[in-house]
Amino acid sequence: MGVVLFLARRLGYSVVVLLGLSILIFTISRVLPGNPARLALGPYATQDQVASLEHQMGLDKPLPVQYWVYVTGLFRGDFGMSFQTRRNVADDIRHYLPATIELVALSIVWIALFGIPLGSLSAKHKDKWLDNGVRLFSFVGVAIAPFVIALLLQFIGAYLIPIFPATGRLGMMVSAPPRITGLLLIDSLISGDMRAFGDALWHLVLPSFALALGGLGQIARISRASTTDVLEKNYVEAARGFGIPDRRIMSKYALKPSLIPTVTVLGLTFASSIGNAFLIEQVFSWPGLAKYGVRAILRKDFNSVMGVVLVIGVVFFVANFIVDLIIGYLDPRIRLRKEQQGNN
Amino acid sequence: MKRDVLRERFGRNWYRFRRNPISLIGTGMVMLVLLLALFAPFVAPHPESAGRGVDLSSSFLPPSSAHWFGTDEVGRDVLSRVIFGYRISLYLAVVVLVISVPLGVFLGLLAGYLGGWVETLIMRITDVFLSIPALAMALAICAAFTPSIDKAMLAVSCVWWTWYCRLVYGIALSVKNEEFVQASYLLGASRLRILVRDILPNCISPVIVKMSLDMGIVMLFGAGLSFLGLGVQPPKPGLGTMISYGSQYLPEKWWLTVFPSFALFFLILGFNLFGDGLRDALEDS
Amino acid sequence: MESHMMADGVTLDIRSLSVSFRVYGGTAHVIDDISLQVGTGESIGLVGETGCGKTVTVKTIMGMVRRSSSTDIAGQILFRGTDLVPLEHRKLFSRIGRELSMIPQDPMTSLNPVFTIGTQLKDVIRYADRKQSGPNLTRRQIRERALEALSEVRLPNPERMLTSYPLQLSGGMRQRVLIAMALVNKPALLIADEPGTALDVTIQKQVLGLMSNLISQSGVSVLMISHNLGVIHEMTDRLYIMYAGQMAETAPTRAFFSRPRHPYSRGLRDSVPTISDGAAIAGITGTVPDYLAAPAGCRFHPRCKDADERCAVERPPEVRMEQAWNVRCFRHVCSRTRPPEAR
Repeated sequence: MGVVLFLARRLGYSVVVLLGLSILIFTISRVLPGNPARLALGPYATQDQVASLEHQMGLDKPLPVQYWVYVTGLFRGDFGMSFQTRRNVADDIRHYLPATIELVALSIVWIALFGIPLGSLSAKHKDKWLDNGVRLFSFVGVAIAPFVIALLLQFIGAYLIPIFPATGRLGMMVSAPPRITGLLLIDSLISGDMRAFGDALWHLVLPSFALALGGLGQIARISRASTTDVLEKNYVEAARGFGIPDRRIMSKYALKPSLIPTVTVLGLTFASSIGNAFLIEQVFSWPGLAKYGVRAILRKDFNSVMGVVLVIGVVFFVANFIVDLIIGYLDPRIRLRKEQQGNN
Repeated sequence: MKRDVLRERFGRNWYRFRRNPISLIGTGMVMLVLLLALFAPFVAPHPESAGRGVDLSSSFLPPSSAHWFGTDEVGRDVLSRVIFGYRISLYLAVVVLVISVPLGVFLGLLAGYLGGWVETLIMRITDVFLSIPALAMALAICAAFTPSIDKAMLAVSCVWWTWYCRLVYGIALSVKNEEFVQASYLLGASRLRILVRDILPNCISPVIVKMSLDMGIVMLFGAGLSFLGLGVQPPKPGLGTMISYGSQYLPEKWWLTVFPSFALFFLILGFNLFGDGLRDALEDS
Repeated sequence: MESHMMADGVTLDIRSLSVSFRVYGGTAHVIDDISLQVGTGESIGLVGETGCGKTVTVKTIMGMVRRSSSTDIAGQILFRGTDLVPLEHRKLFSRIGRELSMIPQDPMTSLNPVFTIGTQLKDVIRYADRKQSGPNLTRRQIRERALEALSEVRLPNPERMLTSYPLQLSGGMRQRVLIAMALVNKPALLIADEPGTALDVTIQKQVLGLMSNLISQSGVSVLMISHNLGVIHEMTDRLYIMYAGQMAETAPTRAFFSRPRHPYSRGLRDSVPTISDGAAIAGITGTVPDYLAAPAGCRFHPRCKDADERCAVERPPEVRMEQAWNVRCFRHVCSRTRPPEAR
């Protein structure tokens, strides 16, 4: 199966890259001044206490050995100890990751759901009010800082017209559904707890929208450009000549080819959404991996930082792989060329 | 494309740039920002506000004719701080680009033209830096240092060079395969000569376009890092820092957040429009 | 040009059609009072160089160019008796792909690359079917018709063709698919846009031969657009020569080639290189006029060796030479006898 081979090759490559990443971050964190043990214990700890923690953390060993210990630990699922939470970073990650995944995933859904049709319609009705409105919106959307958008939305949605909650994932009165995946939306559906589902969704609206707004404009723009491109192609005109109705052309024959560049950009938007999640989670006090990561950075909790970085790397890899799969599905030319190459 | 052709193109592109209303508006905005930033100590009504000028008697004043943007917790004039904030944003963007663009272009040229293990090595390193989203990488690098504006600039530069490297690498690859380059090589031109005479001129225009488009994004990055507490540190008047700090006083003391936010928006929009206009003018093929 | 009624009637009757576009620099009078008939069962050629207005004519027939705030259309396009020009969009559109269909010009780019042949062909059948009254075809019936159409154009293994993508097909095969798509709904009029132009000569011959067979088998009326005189000579009964939006000459094909009457027609025929001529190619000096400021009178007069003062001022009327042969020229060659050259 071509897909499995493709995945295996990508996986192998990605492991190499992630290892490189880990070496990079590891080196930076260990080489620079600042004693992690002392930082963890605070300025009032005695020299002995610091020394013993150093030994416990393995900081007295040479650098490559430390790295080796760390990497082998990774394969066992041991990400090291976090200074702040005093637990294994792996547990912390497991605890906080789903919140961020939910946030980012939902924002991508908004971006695709609104951005793509807006762009296509703009292309069809070029230079009319819809088109100009969308272009203006996307220009502005890209220029406003994500945290400003977040503050604005929070202000409007939670204070001005207080419909939405300002912070948090779940209201205080609502109890969380039994934890299976950690994704509140999924878990509440699985356990049939519709109240929790509704409440979780309600809490997700503002932050996910804030995260989506910047990317929305970009996707609308690329969707518009690629739809325009496709509508001018010979095969669309030929289809019209064969009697295919306009409706069908827009919803099928022009849409599918135009999605190819759009989905590629969607992948890039996903990347920047992960980055912006750090900002959004801060504003909404969203208990996700990004907020955890920022705290870890400020407190120099290196194990946590490493853990967060590596997990993000994996998430990113998965997302890129999915994007490539989708594009492979959309564009048979890629699939067929790969097959031909495979046969050579 | 040969050098003489490129020179002729430059004249044409300048004409097109001038005629486009978007680029003109953008240029106007950018000029305003540049002027404010350059002459900040003279333009700002209360220049001491940017530093340690504290006046507790006028703390938390709403906007008035004396303080157009109001004052903050320790009585500093917000307008002056915003003007100096422009200085900081520009300084940050310029430093980042000055570091990352030459580095990226150099590595990209090396990789593209020399090929072989050099190419593989450089491309793999690029892949490592691009293996997580840019903001995340910049944050991770910031983790190693005590937060300060210099370290933030360093972190962003570490991420930024990769794009220039890839851009130039792609151009070098495509130019390398063009016939006139191969002809030159056969005629005995040294590799260095081909690099400088033929490949480099083709990179100028895309790199310039990218730089102007990047200004806005780099400044957003800087503001984001400051917002999180990792970039510009108080009492320095970084725009992101001011917004973050002011957000805790919403909505009563709204001027602490609104004006810096709007100033940031103006800044980014201006550079984006300018960059877009430049791109439309230069990418005529 | 006067209509030439064939025994069974006229499928397409264009009467004094003029099309102009209002653009930034003024008004472009692209089509200037042309008339054309395609009798039932006839194959008509429409010949002219690039930019002469053939494409605009075809697009107007197909309803892709319609009256609008920037487009003026005068005259009539009678398709099976109904004037298409003022017709409501929906009614016009219901005929497209069904009674009136077109084979697009470039087989390499006229098929959607991300959908299978089967999907595209079946949709052509499905939507034509929906436009007519009566119960709709079932999916199985649609599939059968698709397979039938593919085997009629002599494509090997029609079953596999249905699940293939255009990328997997050669140019000749794609052209056959397009022919199948145009003929599957049994149209009354088939418009062929530059058939065979984008193909290798040997493939072109095969494809044109196939088209010829299918056309004579089904009795469909054909309007063939081309700048390639060889193709026109092989495939058409009568032809129309078009220049700069005006009809220069119309004649029965075989006879035309030995004695073209209009100076432009002669220039065209003489431009075709043949082995006996050696390397010399006559050609016609000058270029197609700018439609924003088209020449007055006969639009060809600036390039015409035989033009006189009248040609620049007055529009020449049609002159009927003989049965089914008209020329729009003051200086046509009827009066001057011309010995047939050894060819």
